[in-house]
Amino acid sequence: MERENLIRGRGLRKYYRRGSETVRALDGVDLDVRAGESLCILGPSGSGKTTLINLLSALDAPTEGTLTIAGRRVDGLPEPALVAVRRGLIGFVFQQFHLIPTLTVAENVALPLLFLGRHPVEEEVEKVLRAVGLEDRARHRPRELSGGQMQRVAIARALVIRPRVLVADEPTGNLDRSTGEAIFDLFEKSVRQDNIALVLTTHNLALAGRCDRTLTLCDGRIAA
Amino acid sequence: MAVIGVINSILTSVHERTGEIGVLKALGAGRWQIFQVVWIETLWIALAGAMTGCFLAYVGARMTDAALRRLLRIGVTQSLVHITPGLLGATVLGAVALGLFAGIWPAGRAAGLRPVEAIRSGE
Repeated sequence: MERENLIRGRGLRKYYRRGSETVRALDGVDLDVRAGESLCILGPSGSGKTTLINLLSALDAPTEGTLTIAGRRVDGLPEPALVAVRRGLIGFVFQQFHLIPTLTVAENVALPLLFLGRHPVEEEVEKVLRAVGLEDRARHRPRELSGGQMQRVAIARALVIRPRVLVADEPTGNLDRSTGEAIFDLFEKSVRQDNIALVLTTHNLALAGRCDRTLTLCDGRIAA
Repeated sequence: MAVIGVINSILTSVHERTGEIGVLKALGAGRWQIFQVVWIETLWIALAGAMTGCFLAYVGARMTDAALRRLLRIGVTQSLVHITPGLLGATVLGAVALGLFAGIWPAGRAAGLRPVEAIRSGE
């Protein structure tokens, strides 16, 4: 049975104005990512990786091109409509974790559920924390955790809404090699078990090799 | 002046937490949800300020009253400085109204932040 195509981008372009100059951050990218598939985006700094990740996570809209996420066209949508797409469909993991320091681990994980308008159920948060091996850290603050643990919390926060698409920008960039591999194990488990489409960027070629497919960007275009 | 002071301090707070607001938006927080967070925070600050001000005014009035009695040595039994419960209540209500008004602009600014730029500026 053919797996559902969760991300479909055609002719994706993103231009920025910098003074009088137009910067072509992305210049005609086509891509597809299916459910249960992982795609790694590679490329040097400034190649357009983060710009592409921002589009695929509906954090930003393309200047040109068509982008469909889980059957919803997101190109041309204004920010309030993009929020609605992110809220229910997309989990995002940042390189720098970006946990809210004043909230406990459990509260951080529950945040996306609140934004969905749902009252977080303790068991639901516990379940996702158990999945990332942090059920005993629920009442801790982020400052009491190691880098690897903070990234696990960030993954739990991304997974709590049961997203169709998981997007991670350099998720192991601030972690040592073995912690990075453990984090990647978690991603793989989510992709296989929950049939999620995973898109991530990394400079770590060993981790990239564990993804189903890789895509290399150079100057905003697909180089390989 | 009080309104300008509150607006200024909340704008500073919003500026310092731009990255955090961007993250909340990336996680699915809508404009109205961000607006509410900042607006309610302004309200709490105004309320806390009003309560502290009322307490200090009450203590100050009692001390002034006692000092006047000692200085003037007059045989008046009633309070010389009047701070009535009605006045305190009106002050707190006024501060709440001021907080509601002063919070609109900073809350609107926070709500209108674009997530990508907000996260980038916070890094």
